[in-house]
Amino acid sequence: MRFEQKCINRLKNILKQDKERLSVPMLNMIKSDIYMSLNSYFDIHPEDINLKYFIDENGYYALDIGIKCNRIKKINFFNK
Amino acid sequence: MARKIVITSGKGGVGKTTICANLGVMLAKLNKRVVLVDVDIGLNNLDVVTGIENKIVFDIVDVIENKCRIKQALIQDLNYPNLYIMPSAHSYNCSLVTAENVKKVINQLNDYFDFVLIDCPAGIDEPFKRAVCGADEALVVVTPHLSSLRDADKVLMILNSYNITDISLIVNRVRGDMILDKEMIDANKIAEILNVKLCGIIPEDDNISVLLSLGRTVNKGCEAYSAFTILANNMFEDKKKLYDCTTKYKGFLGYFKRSLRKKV
Ligand SMILES: Nc1ncnc2c1ncn2[C@@H]1O[C@H](COP(=O)(O)OP(=O)(O)OP(=O)(O)O)[C@@H](O)[C@H]1O
Ligand SMILES: [Mg+2]
Repeated sequence: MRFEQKCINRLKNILKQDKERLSVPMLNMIKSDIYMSLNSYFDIHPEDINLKYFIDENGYYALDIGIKCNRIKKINFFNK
Repeated sequence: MARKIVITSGKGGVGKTTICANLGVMLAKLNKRVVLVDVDIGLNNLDVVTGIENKIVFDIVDVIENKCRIKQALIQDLNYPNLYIMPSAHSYNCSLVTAENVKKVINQLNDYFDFVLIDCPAGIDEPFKRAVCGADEALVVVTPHLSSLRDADKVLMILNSYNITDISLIVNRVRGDMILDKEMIDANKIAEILNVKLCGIIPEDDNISVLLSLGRTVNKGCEAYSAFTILANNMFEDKKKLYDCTTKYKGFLGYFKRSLRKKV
């Protein structure tokens, strides 16, 4: 492998290691914000929200949000 | 309304002050009213780079402490009447030098200039915050070396939490011969990895240190002159033109120069 490519790989690795991790309180805050915004549409509870994150090979944060719910809420779009 | 641009890096010695002074001169040549503000309090250097160290009567700390009016602390450049320098103090011992007070000084310059270029100290602590606080744009300077790039990535993350609307990257000390031999990371690749737009490429140029020792900025005889001219023009363009450091190392003669440079 050429020197430049080795250097690029090393840099990407270092930057990936340096990435800030999301703390548990922050994850809980995000969960609670997701809950607040979706609560009007779905019949959900905060514990139904499953939030996972990882840092991909390019150093991007990837968020996996899984939500299970039994019912949607009935919304009347055309309020008179 | 002035464009208030902080020139920052994280890592020290990558060329912030050099770029601040030379970009300032090039913008002044484009008939813009420019002020260079040295916020590197205690480790001031902008005065030496611009050759005004003997003309300083008042500095930014005096302005903050209300010992003088802002205009009294501004020093006009000898060669470019549109260019002014607001020097920093070589030492200070004053709790008034806060980010908020530096911001006030920078805001006072708003009406008199088109560009306020803020020379930021190295690091990410209090002095960094003082410099960044008053800016609405940032130029992040890096060299194509891992330690500089790593620090720049941290700076980019921190800048996100400020009111900075535009962040661009300048890659300094690029060696065209090493780029062609794939011994140095290409500036475009650096910008791609750091996920920031590239605004300028400045070549490694021995003339810079020679002229700097004389308190002068680059002149037409230097390779870096064209690079700084392009950089200054890029401050107004959405589509950035970039200096190609490899040109002089291409072709038969270029190959010869490359081999020669390696042997030296
Ligand atoms: N493109 C270049 N080619 C050759 N030498 C350069 C180049 N850019 C900067 N230098 C040299 O690098 C040294 C450091 O530059 P400068 O003082 O501008 O860095 P800085 O980032 O402001 O440092 P500090 O963090 O200490 O404030 C100087 O001696 C300067 O001459
Ligand atoms: Mg400096």
